[in-house]
Amino acid sequence: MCSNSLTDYEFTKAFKHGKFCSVYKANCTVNNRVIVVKKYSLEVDDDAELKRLFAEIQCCRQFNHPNINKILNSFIVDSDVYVLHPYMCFGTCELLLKTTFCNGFPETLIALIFKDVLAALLYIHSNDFVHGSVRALHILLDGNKAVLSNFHESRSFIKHGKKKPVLHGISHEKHLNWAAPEVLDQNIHGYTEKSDIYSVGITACELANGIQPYFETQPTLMYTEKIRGNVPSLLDRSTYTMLLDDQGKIPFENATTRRTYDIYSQRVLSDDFHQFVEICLNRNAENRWSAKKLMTHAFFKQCRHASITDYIKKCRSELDTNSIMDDNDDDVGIIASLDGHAQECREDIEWSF
Amino acid sequence: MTVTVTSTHVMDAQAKSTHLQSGGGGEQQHGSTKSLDVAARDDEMTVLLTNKNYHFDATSDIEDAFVELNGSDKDMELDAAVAPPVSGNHQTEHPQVTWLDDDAIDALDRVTLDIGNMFFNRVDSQDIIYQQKKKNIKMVGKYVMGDVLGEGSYGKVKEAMNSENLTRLAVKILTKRKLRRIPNGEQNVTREIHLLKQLKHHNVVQLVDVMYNEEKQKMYLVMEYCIGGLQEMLDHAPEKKMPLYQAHGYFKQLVNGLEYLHSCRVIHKDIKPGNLLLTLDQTLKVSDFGVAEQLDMFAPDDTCTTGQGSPAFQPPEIANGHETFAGFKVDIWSSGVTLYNLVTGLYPFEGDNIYRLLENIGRSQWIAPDWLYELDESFAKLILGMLQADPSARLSLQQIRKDDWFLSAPVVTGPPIPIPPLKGDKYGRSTVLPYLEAYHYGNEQDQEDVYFTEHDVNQELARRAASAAAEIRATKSAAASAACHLYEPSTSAEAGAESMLNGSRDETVSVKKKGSGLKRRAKKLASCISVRKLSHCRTS
Repeated sequence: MCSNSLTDYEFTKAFKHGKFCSVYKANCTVNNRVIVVKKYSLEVDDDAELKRLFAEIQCCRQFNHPNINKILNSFIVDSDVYVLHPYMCFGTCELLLKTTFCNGFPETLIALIFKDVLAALLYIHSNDFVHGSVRALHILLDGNKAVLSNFHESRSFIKHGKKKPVLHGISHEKHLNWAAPEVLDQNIHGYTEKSDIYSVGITACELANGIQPYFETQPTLMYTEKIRGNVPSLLDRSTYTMLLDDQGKIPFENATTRRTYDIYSQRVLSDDFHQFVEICLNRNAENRWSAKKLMTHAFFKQCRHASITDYIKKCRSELDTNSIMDDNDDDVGIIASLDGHAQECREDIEWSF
Repeated sequence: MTVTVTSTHVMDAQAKSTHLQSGGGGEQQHGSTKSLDVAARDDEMTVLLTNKNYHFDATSDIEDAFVELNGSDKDMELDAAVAPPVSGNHQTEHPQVTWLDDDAIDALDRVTLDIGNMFFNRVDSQDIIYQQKKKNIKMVGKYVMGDVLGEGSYGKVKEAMNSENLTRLAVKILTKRKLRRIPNGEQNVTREIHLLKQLKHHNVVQLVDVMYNEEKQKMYLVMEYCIGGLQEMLDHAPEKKMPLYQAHGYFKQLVNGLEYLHSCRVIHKDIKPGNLLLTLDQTLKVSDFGVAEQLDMFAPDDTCTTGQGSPAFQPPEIANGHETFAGFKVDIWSSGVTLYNLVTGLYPFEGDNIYRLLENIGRSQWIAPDWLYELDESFAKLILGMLQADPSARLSLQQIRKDDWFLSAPVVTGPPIPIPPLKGDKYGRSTVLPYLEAYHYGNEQDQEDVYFTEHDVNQELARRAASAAAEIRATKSAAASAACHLYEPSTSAEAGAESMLNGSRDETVSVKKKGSGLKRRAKKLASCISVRKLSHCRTS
């Protein structure tokens, strides 16, 4: 399907340049398909990153599910590892939060996304894996579905032919804000796949509010807060008052925060959504619902006559009219050139599965 | 709330006392919190009493405590008198309160130790006042310090947490002053650090960071966190042993770790259950490289000259004082003894004292007892192979890997023995958390100083002992009555005494609530007096 030769790929755009990892958009000349190529350097001092990468590739290749980001191929040329993924035209949810939905995704879009994410989690969990870092950054969107990616942190209950009842080991520094309290606590009891459900709850807040939960909070404070059972919440008319100080004023007022607060105070998120997040963020892992049960939650009723493309397109056109978009920005460029790619993506999907 | 603090204190005190007995040599030994209901028999009470006698006169024994306890009014009055901030007007009655901090107590202990306890000073227990240690956050570099996990001759081991990525860690704190008192102390430590920095393996404890504080003359070795050691697990287990399959799991990991060490030319020389630690996910970590040796890069073979490990785990060649011996085979022998100890709770060689022990080890080839063959024949053969007196006949790691028992998967028989609770917490949660909470939320209710006296401490200890004894008696009498279905008058008398005791205990609690949370630091005065006898009817 995808060859191991670099000459078969035509690199069209660089999304990210890093010391360890660079991400490119490429065109596969063999089947004329748009793909994403991640290039990792083998020449790094610390081989821990590489070990994680290899574990991720191994783990990902076991999975076959429409809502899990596929690895089309991976190979080594010179001192670089190339990993090929299908191209997802809208990029990561975090990117969309920055560019398109600065004040949060619309509720229905969130429901659409989580329906897919939970399907992926259900699949992973039933294969005795835990994703370990569910967050907006690791959810990719294309025209008609959301996929879960980045299995760096994934762990399996099965090790050396034995199934362990619980997992141990804390997530990477970068993903701590999404981690469940039992993961952070690092006690004998360990954690289970329910920790992913907690991360879903945090991600829901992230997507709805447009801000990273515990952003710029000291990790130790985040830890004690979670241990105490304090959780972030969805901000809408019913809850935004908690952001205000004692006098009912907005702290650190400026034009942007003012506008954001106005939006929070005017919008209404459904009771189902509030309840969904509450279930996910239950301090006690045993009381959190499983992915399977969550999929039956009333929150997902609104998915029936909606699709991801419609929502993003609608929002994009609003943005266009507001002409906030900066065409020079690569990331935004992805969305700007959406129409052309949406078609491509559909073809991709046919190819992928 | 104060009452719970009290209980932690008692655990602490017990942990300290058990430490004293064990010599506290092990690295990162977590305070072994012998919970009263596990081993609450006479042993435990002796510990309490002994402990009590470190600090004051033998006259104030438990009966006294209980007599005084009944006059709880008087007690409260005293409490108020000795705690200046609680009632300021009494302050003049006790003007000569000298506050000692940890270091001052250390210094005082050293002085008293140096004099050699030539005489005793009588100090009334009510005159020794403690201030509850507040959970003030302490950072060393980016690490938040937690409670003390263990204490050795070199210094303390504290739990810590990396404030950036929130991983749990253990910090070995070495003080120059204490190191100087140990022969080759500083040399050993530098060697250990040098060694640990090179080593990186799943089954070898990982050194994360090393920090120095020139001003305080302290060195901090930050290591990955282990929830407990095999020795502690054994200590808490009935019969001091673990099922065969559990030992098999640990032994496999030990062999992996040793293989790695030997491949790095490192001979550990002190393999024993106390130096095998476990992480939260039950990964075995070889630790304590205090006496380890790294062979020279160009050494022709593994010949060593010095052995400083624990006597019971020493091979015959060291016991017999050979000038040179094969290093790798030393670790094999110790691993054999360790494995034997894990499974049987016994040692292949015993002796009344260290000389007898070494004599026994060096005298003859060990013979596996018949019952060991009955337990598991292939296991007995492996142990025998590892405990060959002749180092050249002893199995090598490669041979062990091919051994039948090593390759087998022993049948799972019953539940594994658990990791003992950490500071009374069966979840083994981080002890850094209270410090973080105090830092982030500045818990208001604890802001006021809490004082308590030695007297309170001992009352609490006595209370714990009494309640444990009562529990035992209750179970005994319950068992007795169940067995014979007879109503015995003696039991009823006991029950009566029991209820009386309960009554007085309630009073203690009410006294405690007056404002004496307990948290006491290590008392290092050695167990020079130990009162073995404990009257069985302390209620009389």
